Amino acid sequence: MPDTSLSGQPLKADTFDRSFQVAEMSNWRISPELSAGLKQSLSNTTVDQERPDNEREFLAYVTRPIPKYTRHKIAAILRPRQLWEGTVVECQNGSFVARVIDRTEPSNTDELVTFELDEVSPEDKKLVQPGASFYWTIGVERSPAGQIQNIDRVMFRRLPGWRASSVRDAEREAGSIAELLFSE
Amino acid sequence: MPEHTPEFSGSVIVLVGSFNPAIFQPEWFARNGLLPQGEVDSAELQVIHPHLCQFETESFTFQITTDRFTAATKPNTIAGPLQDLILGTFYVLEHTPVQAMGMNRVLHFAMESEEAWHRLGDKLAPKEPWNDILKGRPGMRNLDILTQRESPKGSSLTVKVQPSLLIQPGVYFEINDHYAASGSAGLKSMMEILRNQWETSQKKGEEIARHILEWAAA
Repeated sequence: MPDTSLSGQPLKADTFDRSFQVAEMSNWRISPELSAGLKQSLSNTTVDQERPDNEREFLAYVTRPIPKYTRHKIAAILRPRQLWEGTVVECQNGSFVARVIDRTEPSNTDELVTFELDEVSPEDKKLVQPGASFYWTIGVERSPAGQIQNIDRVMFRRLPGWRASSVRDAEREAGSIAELLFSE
Repeated sequence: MPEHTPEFSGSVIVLVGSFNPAIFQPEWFARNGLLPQGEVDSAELQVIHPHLCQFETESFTFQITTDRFTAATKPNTIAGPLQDLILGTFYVLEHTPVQAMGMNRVLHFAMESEEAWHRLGDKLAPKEPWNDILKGRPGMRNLDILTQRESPKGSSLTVKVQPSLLIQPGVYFEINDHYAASGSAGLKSMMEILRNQWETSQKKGEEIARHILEWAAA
């Protein structure tokens, strides 16, 4: 059975001081052949003359020392408190109105909320149009220095547009259903 | 009883199949409108090689090899954008051969005391069989529990429990919600599952971890 798990946390001491995501990634498995090659290259100080040049070059590259600034980079940690999913209903001058669904407490009723465009990142502003959907998170962020701040983040969803072929397929399927329903 | 809240949590999607790592460079994600250009410009490239592509952006980390595509959220960020990213990526690469998909949830919980931490390990893996033969204090290092589901065929759920390496005393849970693709519509079926099951799967992962923590504390 193909394995789609992560096989746990890294168990090497040198990953302790890295940020969570880098530590996690260091244990993600690459293919058995590469993994075996990496393990061998890390534990074996002799040069394997039998190993092809391209593989040796590759192993040398992936096992190169990581610069210190990378190893010790620790990002700010966000703790989300509440999450809503919103859909833009109407765009106004400098603001937009959205219907938001509470994803943290789904029993809460949907609400209409007005957002200032300033709350949206410059790159997401072009996505603000009726029908666009976004995540709205409220939480607490802890900086690497331990500072705590309340944050409120609006993040527009980046979903690919419909391909012409997909639209044609959908129209064809709708046509067949309509034919079936209204044939009599 | 207070509700257990993870100190660190993350979501990871793993696809097993056939991939071309050289495609998956940060710029490719921006060109296809899947990541903001600013996030791509500040991406940290770790390895770009025909056999392996590894980089991280503000929101995600990626590792792609010829047989495995792995994308993860940064810690404690919301899981929805990762689902969007993978659905978008494989909408663009619609002919990618995929054999299996794992929707993973990783959680690190702080334990209230070392005693409570040992109690959890002792309840999950009783030490009676070991105490007579092993010297010292045997402890649980890793526990995997697998359950095969009848439907969809080839799907399973694995829960891994380990002492947390980030929090001491703390416990690490890794929940792997695994689906096997069948036939030629492998990618399509996996994306359908991802679209419909992602949120439920992520919530189920937390529910399992909380259940075990509450059971151990009782």
